[in-house]
Amino acid sequence: MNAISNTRNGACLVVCGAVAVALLISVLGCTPPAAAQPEQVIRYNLTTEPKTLDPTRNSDLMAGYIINHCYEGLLRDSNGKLIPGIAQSWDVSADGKTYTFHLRDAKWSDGKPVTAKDFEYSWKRVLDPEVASTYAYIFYFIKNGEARYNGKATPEDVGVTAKDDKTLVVELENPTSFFPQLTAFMAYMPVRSDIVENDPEKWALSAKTYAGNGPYILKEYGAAGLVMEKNPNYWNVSAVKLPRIESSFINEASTELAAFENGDLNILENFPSAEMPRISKTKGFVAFPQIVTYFYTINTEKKPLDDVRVRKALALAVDRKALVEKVLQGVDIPAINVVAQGLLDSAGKDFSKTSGNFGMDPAGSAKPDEARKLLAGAGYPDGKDFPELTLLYNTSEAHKQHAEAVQEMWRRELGINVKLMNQEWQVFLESRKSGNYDIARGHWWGDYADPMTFLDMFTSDAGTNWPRWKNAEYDKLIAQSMSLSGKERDEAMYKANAIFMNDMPIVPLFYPTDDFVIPENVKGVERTSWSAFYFGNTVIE
Amino acid sequence: MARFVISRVFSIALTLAVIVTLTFFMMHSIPGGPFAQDKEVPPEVLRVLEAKYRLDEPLYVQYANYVKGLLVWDLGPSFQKIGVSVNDIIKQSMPASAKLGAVTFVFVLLIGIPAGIFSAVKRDSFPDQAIRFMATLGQTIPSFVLATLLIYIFSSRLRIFPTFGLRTWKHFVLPAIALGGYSLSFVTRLVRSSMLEAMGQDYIRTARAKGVPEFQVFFKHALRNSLIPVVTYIGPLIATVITGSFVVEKVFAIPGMGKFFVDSITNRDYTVLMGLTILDAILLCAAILIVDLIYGLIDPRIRVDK
Repeated sequence: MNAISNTRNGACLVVCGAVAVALLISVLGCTPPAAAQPEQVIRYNLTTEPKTLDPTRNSDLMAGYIINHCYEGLLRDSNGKLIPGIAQSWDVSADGKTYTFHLRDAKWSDGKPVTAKDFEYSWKRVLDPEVASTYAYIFYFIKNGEARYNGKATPEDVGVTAKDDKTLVVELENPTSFFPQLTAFMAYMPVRSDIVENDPEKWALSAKTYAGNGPYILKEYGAAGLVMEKNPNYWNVSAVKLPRIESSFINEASTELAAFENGDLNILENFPSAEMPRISKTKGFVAFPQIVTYFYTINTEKKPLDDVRVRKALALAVDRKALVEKVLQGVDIPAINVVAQGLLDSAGKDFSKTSGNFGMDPAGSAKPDEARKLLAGAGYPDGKDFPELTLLYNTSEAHKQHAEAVQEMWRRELGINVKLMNQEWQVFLESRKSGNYDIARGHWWGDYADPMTFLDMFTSDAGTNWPRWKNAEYDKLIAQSMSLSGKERDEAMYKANAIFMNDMPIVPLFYPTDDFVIPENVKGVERTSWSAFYFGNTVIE
Repeated sequence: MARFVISRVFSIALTLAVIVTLTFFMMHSIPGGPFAQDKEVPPEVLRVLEAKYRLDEPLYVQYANYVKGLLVWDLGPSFQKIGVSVNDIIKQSMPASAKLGAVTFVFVLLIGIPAGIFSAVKRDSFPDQAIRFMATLGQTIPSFVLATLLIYIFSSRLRIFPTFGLRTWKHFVLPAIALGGYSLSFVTRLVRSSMLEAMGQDYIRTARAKGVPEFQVFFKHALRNSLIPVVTYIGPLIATVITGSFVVEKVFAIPGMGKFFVDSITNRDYTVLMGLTILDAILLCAAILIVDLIYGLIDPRIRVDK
């Protein structure tokens, strides 16, 4: 990536000489005259070709962006706000466990009516173990959802029933206040049983058979990119402003930047990190917050990391402010909690910010004196006799830079030596899962906008409990909060979060933002709370 | 001649069998699997997935199944792209790689051979030194630097060529230079040095002594002999440019085979990795075989059936 900035000066001569050629070309009239009306097309790059576009089998956000345009769930997520989708309204039972959705008159892109049965079919399809969908756990809130996916219940046991064509009744395991929000999520969008059953493996590979119920239809789909156009059969088609969206599959950040700068793309998402200082000053630069936490997980089964004082010392010695400003170029947010910011409790307060500081500085500065004291208390004054630990990360330039910065902070503040080790992604997953590490990188995307999406990662038997941390009280509180609601649920979750953070099995580092350049003439770009764009209300001026 | 071809085909088949076997077992010995992810799938579902792709059988059975499929050129389903077979991936991605490869091949020979001859003829002149300098440069600049540099200058700044894709003839220019840069330099140097070597031979002196015009000495006597090393290089060159370069395809977002190759390793997409490795090996072996046959045409002294 540095090649770009380093070659800039060296290339100057060549550039100057060739500018003359470019001028000549434009004088000769090769450039088309400027159009009076800007073309109403969004050209947005997806880095890779999605593994599947089938909403019931997809777990990838890139495909989620396409699905969000071609499909519509019961509700729609517009900039994080819920607006009616296929459901006009819904009722909740007194115990909060049964939702009844009332569907509007809507059509599929081939003109057939959208019915409650479509939803029942699709949701049950995700939970079918034979389909082996990888996002099924997002349906575990539904009664018998988990049992079904694990092969311990029949489709009939699952709490989704189409009472008639226009009424969908959903029974939940526990009162789940954020359930309506889930119905706007990509995995909850409906597919057509007749089309899917006709060719379950290949139906989502061709624009011809890819029938949707959303604002757009897939017009072209190939290895080089895809095109979506307005769906004339969408129930709210009059509200869709942008007629056409094109997406390419450029997987090289410097190429995407070049394509954006010469006008082949309207929106810039990926660019070499070395360009951040320049890009962040560009007009139209936006850093969207996301539900993500970047942290280091500590193997609590290994000595001396089984000592909470050592873990706390490691957490306190990290200067998150410096990490964000110097290494991350100042866009991301320092993190002092595993729970990402922006997730609210029942009173509408930010859970992560309200939960507490757990001894860390909320602005992100290190507390070296306290860290040293803790380490001395654990028997390692000034880091003496502290064994050499290994910090493991998956191979990537960015992860390496973060690790080097933290390694230096620990060395400087605590006098301890940490060795860096990188592994290829799959090998890394294996090492982290099997506890074959001292300290390892972690990066978690919330699946839904509730603190629970982070908290339930660390129960004793969770597959994502990488620190191998066990706390019976924590398990109990998490289990309890599943069946509670409102203030009681908040209390249980705050308590659980405090137990976790005070024991520090992970070192939170920062909350990555999602950075874009959206030029000022591109108006009305929307984004879901789960980080997918929606261009239906976009106008290019 | 027939005996030669048969024995070569036989040894190619043996080579391929070794490649298939080694790749298969090495691939399965690296940690990780196609269904590993941050959030693990429950054991029940993992069982379904493994049964579906027949990964639950003992490794030797999987190997036997794979070889059986291979004999009828059924390379199996991709583990990552739902509903797509490896045959589909090859069918879809090979044309892009092959088209770019063909353009690059022509570009390399069309410029490399004349440049090498010119350099040899004008030995130690300024143009020769300039060509030698460029050739050395071309061999040392990694293709990703060259590709990024080309995009930066010709797409980003000058806006003469497009940044990505393979739609019009203009789209081929920068990727072909980036892909062929190394080979072009190599061919130029090769032609130059073998041309100079040929020029020092006795038969050239004889030709000159007999009063053969200098033009004929170069093109009739020296050139023909100096092209033999180039022909040797053509085999690997074809195989390399046609199967796609990961770097060039990534930088120019070309939907070719190189991209799938590397992705398949990262994703542990076993069948794709196997299929593309085998295809690559077949193309390389075929190219080398063809080159062996061409030798005889250029130089009658090389008798392939001896």
